[in-house]
Amino acid sequence: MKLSPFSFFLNKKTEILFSFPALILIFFFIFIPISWGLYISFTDYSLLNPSFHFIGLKNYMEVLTSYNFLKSILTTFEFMVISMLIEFPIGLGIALLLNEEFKGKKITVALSLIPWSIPMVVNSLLWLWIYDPQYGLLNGILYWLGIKEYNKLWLGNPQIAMFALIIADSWQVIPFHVLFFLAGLQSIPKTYYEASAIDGANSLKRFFYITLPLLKRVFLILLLIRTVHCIKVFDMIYLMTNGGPGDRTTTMAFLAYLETFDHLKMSIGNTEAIIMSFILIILGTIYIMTLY
Amino acid sequence: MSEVKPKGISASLVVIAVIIALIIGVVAGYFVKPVELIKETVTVPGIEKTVTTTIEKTVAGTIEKTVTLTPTAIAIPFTPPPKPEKIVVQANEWNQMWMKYLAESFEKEYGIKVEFWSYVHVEDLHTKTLAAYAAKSSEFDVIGMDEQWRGEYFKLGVLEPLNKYFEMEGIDPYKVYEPFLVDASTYKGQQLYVLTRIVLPFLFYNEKMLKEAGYTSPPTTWEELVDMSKVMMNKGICKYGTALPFAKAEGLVCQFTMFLHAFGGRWFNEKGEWAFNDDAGIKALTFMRDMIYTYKIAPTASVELNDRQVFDPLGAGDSAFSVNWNVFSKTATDPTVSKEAENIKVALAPGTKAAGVKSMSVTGFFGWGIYSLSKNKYWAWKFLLHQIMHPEISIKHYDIYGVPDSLKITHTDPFYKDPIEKKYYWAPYAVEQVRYAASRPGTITYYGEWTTMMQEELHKVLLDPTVDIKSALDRMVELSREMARRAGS
Repeated sequence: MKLSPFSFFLNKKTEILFSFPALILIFFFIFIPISWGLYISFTDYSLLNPSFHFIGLKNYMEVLTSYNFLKSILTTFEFMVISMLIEFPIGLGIALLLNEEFKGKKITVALSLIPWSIPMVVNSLLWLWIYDPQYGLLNGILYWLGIKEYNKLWLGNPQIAMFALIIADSWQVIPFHVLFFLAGLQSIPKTYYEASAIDGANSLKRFFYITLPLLKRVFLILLLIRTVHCIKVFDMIYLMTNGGPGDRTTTMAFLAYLETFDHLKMSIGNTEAIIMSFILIILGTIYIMTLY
Repeated sequence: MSEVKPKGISASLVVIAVIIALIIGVVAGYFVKPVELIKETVTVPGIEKTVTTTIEKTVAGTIEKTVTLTPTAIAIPFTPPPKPEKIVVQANEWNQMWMKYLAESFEKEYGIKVEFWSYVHVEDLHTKTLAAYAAKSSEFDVIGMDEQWRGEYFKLGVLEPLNKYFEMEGIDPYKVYEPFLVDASTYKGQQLYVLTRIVLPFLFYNEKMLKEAGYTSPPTTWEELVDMSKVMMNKGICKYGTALPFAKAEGLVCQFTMFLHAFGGRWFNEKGEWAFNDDAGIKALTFMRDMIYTYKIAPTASVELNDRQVFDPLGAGDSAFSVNWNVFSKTATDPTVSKEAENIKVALAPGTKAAGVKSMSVTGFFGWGIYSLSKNKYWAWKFLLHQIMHPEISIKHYDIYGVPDSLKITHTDPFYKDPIEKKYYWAPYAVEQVRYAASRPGTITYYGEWTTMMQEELHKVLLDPTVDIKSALDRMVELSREMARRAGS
């Protein structure tokens, strides 16, 4: 029986009452700022020109036809896609290994989580030292190995910088994938594997026909989380490349930051952030429709 | 007929009149003191200040002289506003380090507490100040500011011009501060803030390496620096001549400013239009890139190095030169962080033979102004004035940052100058370097957007030796002009 809103309220009043404090916080700290941001995106507001004029979709037209913004979308997707292509297979591979029984398994699992427990800022500074062109660890190892061109630029070379950033990011995020995949693997009943073994399925078949399909939900959650992380990637770029070399690693979030806090164009920065959110919603919907 | 005597003033009436006049005179003399205003020059704590003195003539003929430093003797009487409980200073942490000494002394003298609002990065200070101003917040009184924000702040009216305060005190800023610093803090005739120290790059060099190569003095031009570097590299004295801070950052715009002016260029033409794509601009940017790819006196890693990182090879004995900010003077000569500490010496930044420029540097000034929405402007001013009145606090800049303060007296009066120069041998070079320094175009109102564009475009040129410099500069000028058009300037 479908309840009227009033009956629903009476029926669920305790639950609603208890969720009220959280709803108030959400209203003030999420709903109002987002609405305000959305409103600003329809104005010409800038800190250098503190007056509000409603200008309709002009900012959206400007942003969506701007070379810098379109390029930043491509850069963000490049970061996202390559990151995931590296993180998912490696994360799953390590999780499969850790799912097997061996001596010292628990300590190995605990140790493998260390990179994930390091704050992003510390991780970025750590990799800055590794990539340092003059006294960095990486160039030091290459020099020690006798590789002639040891004095390599990692973050200053437009061809390498993005990849160097992705490696630094993946190093931190892979343990997170491992944790999720491991939890997923351990939730698959062993009986499935035993039955398939009796039916004569080899390990490859077991992986493709049992493991992968049953990890679909884990993939979906990880995809969603990582898409959000990758699209809003900022701290690492701010600390390691400042969007460079040139504009090679200027992602959407970094560009929105520049427009808002460097150029003080609040309306343009908000417009870019709103578009970013729309991209996220679209991607999220696609993932859920395909994988759920 | 009786004789009519002409009416005369009887002696008694005269006596009465005299007595009354005397009484009136005494009473008036008691209550009304004629005031005469004259001006004279008085020396106050070693600073020449013109103050107004009041000379009071009493009826008794005695003269009393009162010298006052407050503006009460100006034609319009002035009563200082009541003292607030506190004044609030907003700046980033690094820049506040010295300000805290000033605050301590100010609190002791005036009984007004000085509260600091700190930010980690100087850029945050810019954003937070403008956001507060847009919100009409009047919660702070003194704000720190970088020289490149002055165009924006002037346009918006964020700062209270200081001219009237200087006039009120009878102080000529040109006599108190190094004149260049007054010009750098003035825009369209308005002195917007005060600069408290001198920050700019000069040349650091390894004296031992130079001697090994047979040189007795450091290079005075960039061309000479290149030649000397090549010789030293060929002799195996150093790995490379210099590392350059060409990472994509504000420092890159500072570097281009320095080279542009060293090669005789300017940001703007006589009409005030962007014009750094002329011959001098091309020569400057070409030279910057050639140092890496053609002359090979700088590592290719330069495109990734910031101002601090270029110091590492100098300290490690890998390079012989570094044109770098004077704030690194203490680090460079500190044996705990620099292997070559005792060999590192300083000189004026090189000029160029090509343009006949003797020396050229770039300013990196940071100043303090009165927030225009402050409710305690008079006491905020008194706080800024406190530096002028206390050179002994001002010179703490040397101990904290290793750089000279902005007061003329500490650079000229042997009482201050001699002990400083004994302790910090590099001190006079920065003061002299000020005469050969150019500024970034901080008067534009769209500096934030402009500098991001310049950093990107300059970096692209320096990353790739095949990029056509003339076309790249033309593009930068075109984009700059477009921004100017949009900003309505």
